[in-house]
Amino acid sequence: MGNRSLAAPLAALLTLVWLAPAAAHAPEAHHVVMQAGPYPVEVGFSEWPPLAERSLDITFTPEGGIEGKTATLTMVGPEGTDFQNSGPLGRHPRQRDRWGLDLIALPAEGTWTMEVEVEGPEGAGTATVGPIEVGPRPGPPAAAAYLVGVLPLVAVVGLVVAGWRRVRPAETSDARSWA
Amino acid sequence: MATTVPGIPTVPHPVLASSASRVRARAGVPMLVGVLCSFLGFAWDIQWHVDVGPDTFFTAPHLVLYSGIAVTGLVCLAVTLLTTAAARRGDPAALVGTAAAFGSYRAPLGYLVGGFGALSFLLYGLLDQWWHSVYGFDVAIVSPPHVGLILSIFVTMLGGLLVFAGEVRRTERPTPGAAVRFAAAAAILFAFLTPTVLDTLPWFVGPISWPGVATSLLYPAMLLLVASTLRLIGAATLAAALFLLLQAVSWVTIPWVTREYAEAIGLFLRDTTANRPVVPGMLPSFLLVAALAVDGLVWAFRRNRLPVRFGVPLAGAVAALVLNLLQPVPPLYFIGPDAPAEFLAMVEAMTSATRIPTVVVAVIVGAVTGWFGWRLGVVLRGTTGPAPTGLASAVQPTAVPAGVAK
Repeated sequence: MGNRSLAAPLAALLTLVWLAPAAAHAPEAHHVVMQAGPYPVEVGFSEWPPLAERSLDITFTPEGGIEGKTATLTMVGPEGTDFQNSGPLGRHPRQRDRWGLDLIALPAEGTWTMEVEVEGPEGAGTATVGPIEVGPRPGPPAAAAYLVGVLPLVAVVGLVVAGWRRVRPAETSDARSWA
Repeated sequence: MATTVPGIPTVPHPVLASSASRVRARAGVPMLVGVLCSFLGFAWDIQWHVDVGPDTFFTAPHLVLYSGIAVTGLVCLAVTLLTTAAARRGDPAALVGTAAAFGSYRAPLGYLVGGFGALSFLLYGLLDQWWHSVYGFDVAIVSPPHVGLILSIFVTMLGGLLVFAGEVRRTERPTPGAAVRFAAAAAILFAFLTPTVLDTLPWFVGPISWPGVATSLLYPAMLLLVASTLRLIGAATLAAALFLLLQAVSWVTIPWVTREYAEAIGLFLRDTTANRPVVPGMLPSFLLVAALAVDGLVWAFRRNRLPVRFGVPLAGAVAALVLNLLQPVPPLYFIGPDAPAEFLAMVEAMTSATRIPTVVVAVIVGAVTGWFGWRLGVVLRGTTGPAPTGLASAVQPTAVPAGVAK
């Protein structure tokens, strides 16, 4: 009886763990078509306008598909090249017919540009997407939010200080002895 | 039999009292399992984000992480309730080695700390769900709710460390089981802290390599904390061997299980990932060598009756030197054929430019944190067991009722 009553919630949980990640997929909110040499490339954004630090997916679909082509992305923001989001483009994990970045965030508010270099059977070409105006970071002020986040550390420091003051290790022979 | 806990009525109940002691004697193992699962779930979750990506609350790595915390939290809750109930029923033995929380709840300090960590984890988990509604799903490991979650896991693991320090102090010399559990808890705690500490600053701060300094902040402290708490020959080496085992097991299993789970649910590794171990790849690879050096120095100083005040900072400095010379930067998981050439060149240039200043800073930092680790060990010994020698009057960490023999 006990086993049976546990079985249903467990099965539901396992189903979620099985199905939920595969279902996570952002719809496209905005797209532009750019010309990278001989290749028209559709660039899609899952969030528009993008906001600093808010996650989004960006996809790149060359006309005729990605088969036989490679692409490299360079993202340049107000603070220079964003190395974390630049590099060779891979297929988008849930839309494998196109290249894409999933769950990235542009770290800074301001003007961004993206250079997409496409190589394929008809040669190479580069498209520059932008300027993209990235809006301000949403949500509460970062400092206040981090203050809430570090509260457990304050508790740990308090605990260590309390333990230290109670034991006063400097005055113990325990601290001065190897044994 | 009366207790001295104010406000707690006394009702003799030997069966409950003995069950409290029984549960406490056996709670260490599930506590360690919970802490281990928390680390493995955390490392798997990061690997999942890097290699596969899509995130909802219901992923298998989250299941392992949350189960680990849940097990730890429930163990802490059970021990606290049983100890409190035993105290209420007038069993003074149940009060030995306990501390109070919320007035009348009592448990060994480690279980109280671990329980608060698990509770705090739950609250930050709720905050994280709200955060996702504002910022979308996870992009970075460092966000305010993640900092809260990670620190809550840290508090839970610290609770584990206190529990095992209490086990170590239960006997005159630590039993082998207690020594292994304490060393394992320390290894898991420091392995868990490493990725977060590495992520708090840019990897190159002026002429200094942050991973080099961060390694020296953490590991000399870990080795000397274990040496100080256990006071056994080879204590640091024991902790480093368990650390190496944890690193090896997670190095092999975490990328593998990430691939298998993705495949099983119809997802794919990113084209741009190499499926390299992320968290295990951030852990220092030569801790065993550093630990052998620490234990060798401790042994030589002890044998020749040389002072602790020189030996401990020296051992910390040597540990930092060994770690930095053998591995100037951790095996950065993202450096490989798929990393941009410009980035690789930058890392190479900065690594060679920062080597000497980093070693100098790391050695100084290692001496200080080694000293801190040793002193922290003394504090752990004092708060979880009998008073340290030489200061019996100042330390009565546990509320032992008057007239009760320890």
